[in-house]
Amino acid sequence: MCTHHHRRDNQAVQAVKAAVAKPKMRNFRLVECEFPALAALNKLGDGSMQSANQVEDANLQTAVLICRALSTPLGLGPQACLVISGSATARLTQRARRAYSSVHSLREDGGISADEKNKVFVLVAPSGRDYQLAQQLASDGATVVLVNGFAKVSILCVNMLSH
Amino acid sequence: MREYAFALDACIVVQVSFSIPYIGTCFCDLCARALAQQDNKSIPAQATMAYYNKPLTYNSQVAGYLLRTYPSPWTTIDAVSRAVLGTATDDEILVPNTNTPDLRASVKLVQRAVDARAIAARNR
Repeated sequence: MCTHHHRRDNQAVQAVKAAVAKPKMRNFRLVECEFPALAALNKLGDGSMQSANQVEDANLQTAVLICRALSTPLGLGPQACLVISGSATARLTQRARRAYSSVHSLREDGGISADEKNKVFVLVAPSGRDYQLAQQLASDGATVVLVNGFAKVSILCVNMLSH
Repeated sequence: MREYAFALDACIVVQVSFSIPYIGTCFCDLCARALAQQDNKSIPAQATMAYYNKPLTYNSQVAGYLLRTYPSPWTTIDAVSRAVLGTATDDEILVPNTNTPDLRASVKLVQRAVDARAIAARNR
């Protein structure tokens, strides 16, 4: 399972790097990345705290890998900022701060200031509310990577209705 | 005539003279279009889907995957043989005005592959 996850993470990192270098729309670097965080798919929706924590940890692990891949090596230049959703748990924020140096929690640190808009942001497990922020940042010239946005209620609704 | 009003400011008017299935189809299509155009809580269509990995199930088992590794096209893969069952571009697979793929074509490909394998096994 480790090899499978390792391979998947590598694929995701390479794909994100390619998308950031040459996005679908020029000057709009909003990149999405979506995959089952856990190999055991039934854990994704079983409602238990243990499974939810495992999903959080798996998402965080991939997001940190993407952050490192998009940062200047050895910390000599700009670092990608790992952004934690305002609706994320305090546990996820704590774990993110332990795993990566540049972490911004939308709940604890507030919004992202205008002078930071040329940076690279990696949003882990964003909620519907964060999509507007991501879109705004990307419109203003920032690079934004969304990792596993699960709260796609409206999108799901569109899919169901169009079937 | 009956009027439907939504919180999304979409107002849809349906004539009762149409047959029920037709009303249902029109209603759903209009709802979908209204939501896709006015929804601010979704990832916009201009975004780039860099990596997408979706297991596709058939008969309660993972029978295939829809995989997208940018800049490669969207690829449907059989879970057993690992064969590529089909590929699609963004224009072909994404639901209009969204960044979400329509899974129906990929699911059909996977179902057909599973059925063909089952028939071949039975005839052996």
